[in-house]
Amino acid sequence: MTAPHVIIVVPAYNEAQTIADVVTRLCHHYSDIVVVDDGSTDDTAVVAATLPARVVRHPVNRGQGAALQTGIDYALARGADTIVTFDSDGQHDPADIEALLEPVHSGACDVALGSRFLGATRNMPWTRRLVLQAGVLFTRIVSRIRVTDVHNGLRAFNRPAAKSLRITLDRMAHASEILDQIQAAGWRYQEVPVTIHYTDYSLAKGQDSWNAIRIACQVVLERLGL
Amino acid sequence: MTIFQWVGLPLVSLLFLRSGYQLVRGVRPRTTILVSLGIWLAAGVAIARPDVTTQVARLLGIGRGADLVIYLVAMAFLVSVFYFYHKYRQLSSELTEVVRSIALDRAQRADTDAAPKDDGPTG
Repeated sequence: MTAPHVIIVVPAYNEAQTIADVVTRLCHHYSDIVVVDDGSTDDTAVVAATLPARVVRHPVNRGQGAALQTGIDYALARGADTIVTFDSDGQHDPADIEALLEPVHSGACDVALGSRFLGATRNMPWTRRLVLQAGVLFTRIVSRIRVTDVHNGLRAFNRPAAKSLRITLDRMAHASEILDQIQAAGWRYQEVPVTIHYTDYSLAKGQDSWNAIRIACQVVLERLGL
Repeated sequence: MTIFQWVGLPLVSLLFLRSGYQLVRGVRPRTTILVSLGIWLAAGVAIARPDVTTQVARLLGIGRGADLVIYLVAMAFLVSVFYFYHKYRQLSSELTEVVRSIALDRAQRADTDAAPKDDGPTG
């Protein structure tokens, strides 16, 4: 039996500083990596082009949700059996991917979701923890899905799940939308412990607390069909 | 007549006539034009006969005609906000589809160009 074709999708926006390190670390484990440059204004695309990865470039910035969907479409067109989404700010550990793929490849689930609260966090500020926990509570009420981590960019989808996934919320609210679609489609999902490494860089690039409120409003408006 | 009525009534009448013209020509959806006609007519009546708004307000238990107008404007504002948010989302989504299509097309073309070409047997 041939090994499943795994494609790693890395959405990147203005990540010239980290993209080389992220892709290089991924390369030690996986050979098919797709960087989706989301209309960066820095040298992300130039740096990515020098790396052993395929680069798909949005002519203008459309947001992480849009970049993920583009990467998933591209990976499906390339015949991926399993698609892993992986953030480009250096917070994720490539070593976690294996554990994420295991339940998907064994057929135990359709989607594996990374969870920092089941795994570990390094240098996580308490304010971030509070906002993320509030997000978990909000998702449990609104989306009625029992997960321990909502906005974790490390996920694995089998081909049928990836094919039916359609991210329409272009910006950061896509994480909630993915959970909504998992729930609505009845995909089998499993949370897998992962480690998130917070650095000054990733914290500066990450979401602030006000954005969390904006995301919540967007999710509610979407739910209301507006 | 007050100065406001001298200015407001011709203006609203012109807008009413414009909507009527659009209804006859069928340049916009019929429902939209009928709503516009209703709004201009109500505005015309409210400007020409302010006492009518007070009567309607009392009928609805609001009290003052000015309050009725404020409530209606607030409701119209909210509806407009949601309408334009919906339009913004629609346009944004269409733009993303175009951007995605361009990105995928370019990437697939680059893949085709990079693929080793089979020149067939030589010699």
